[in-house]
Amino acid sequence: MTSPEAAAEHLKVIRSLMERANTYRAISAPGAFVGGLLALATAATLARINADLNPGNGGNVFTLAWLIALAVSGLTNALLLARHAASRGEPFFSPGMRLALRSLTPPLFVGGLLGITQAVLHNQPDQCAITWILCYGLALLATANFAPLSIRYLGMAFVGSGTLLLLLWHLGACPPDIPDTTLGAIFMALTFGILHLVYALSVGLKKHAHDEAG
Amino acid sequence: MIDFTKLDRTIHEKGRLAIMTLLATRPHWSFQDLKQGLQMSDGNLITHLRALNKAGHVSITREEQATRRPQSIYALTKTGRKAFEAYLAILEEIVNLGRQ
Repeated sequence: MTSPEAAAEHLKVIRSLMERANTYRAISAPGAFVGGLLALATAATLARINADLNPGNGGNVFTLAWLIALAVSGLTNALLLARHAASRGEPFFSPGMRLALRSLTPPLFVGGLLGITQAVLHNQPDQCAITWILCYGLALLATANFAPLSIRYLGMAFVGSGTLLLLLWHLGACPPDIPDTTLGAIFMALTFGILHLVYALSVGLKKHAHDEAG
Repeated sequence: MIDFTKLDRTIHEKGRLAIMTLLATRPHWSFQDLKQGLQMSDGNLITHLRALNKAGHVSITREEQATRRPQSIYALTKTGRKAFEAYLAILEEIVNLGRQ
């Protein structure tokens, strides 16, 4: 015989195991916060030094600056995820992490390569930014089956913003007097900067409310 | 009235229930992933997996790998999935009965 209390306890354990097995957050809130701030700082630096740039060299500087920002924010996020995994007694390369990497890698690789080609070979940093925004959004959406809702919303926000910026760019709605490198930096600041900060704050506030509720 | 004889005794054990739960979340699991997910010892996990395999709930396939040793892949069988769903339905019935 099983009592209703024992049955409820069993169901609770099943639910918690299923949630744990199914959910993986590839971007931690503090990681997103650092990434967002770094994106804003990189964009501001690029906009400031743009006047000193040789017109033919803008794409190279743009690519280099964002690759450095990517390396720093990626490393910070990895360290935070490792700390979180250690606190839960889980390995860093957990099944969830492997699944996330398998989903994230193809769109990030294609987007990265395409963007670098646009910026370095064709000197179009603004187009490069739009490609990176769209492919990053697609990468986040590729984890939708096992990611929390906030990551899916972040993916949708990136794809939506990328599409809007692409339309505006093609319609000639962007101010023509802004240099391509600055325009690309603005696109990156609006998305990789602002969207990551909004994500970090909303996830952080939700977690705080959850902790307060006990 | 709930028929308690329908409660699958093979699944109705904490360790085996946890294994069935994880197996229900993805098409297949490696031994290492199950071990990490459940924090069970090798001996405990293999004993439970063999019991579930014997009951027809879990399939075990050996996957050859080019560079490493072959690894065992575990998955719920159709019978296993049905048994797990039936088990959940009975648990829910019991919980609902307690609420009445």
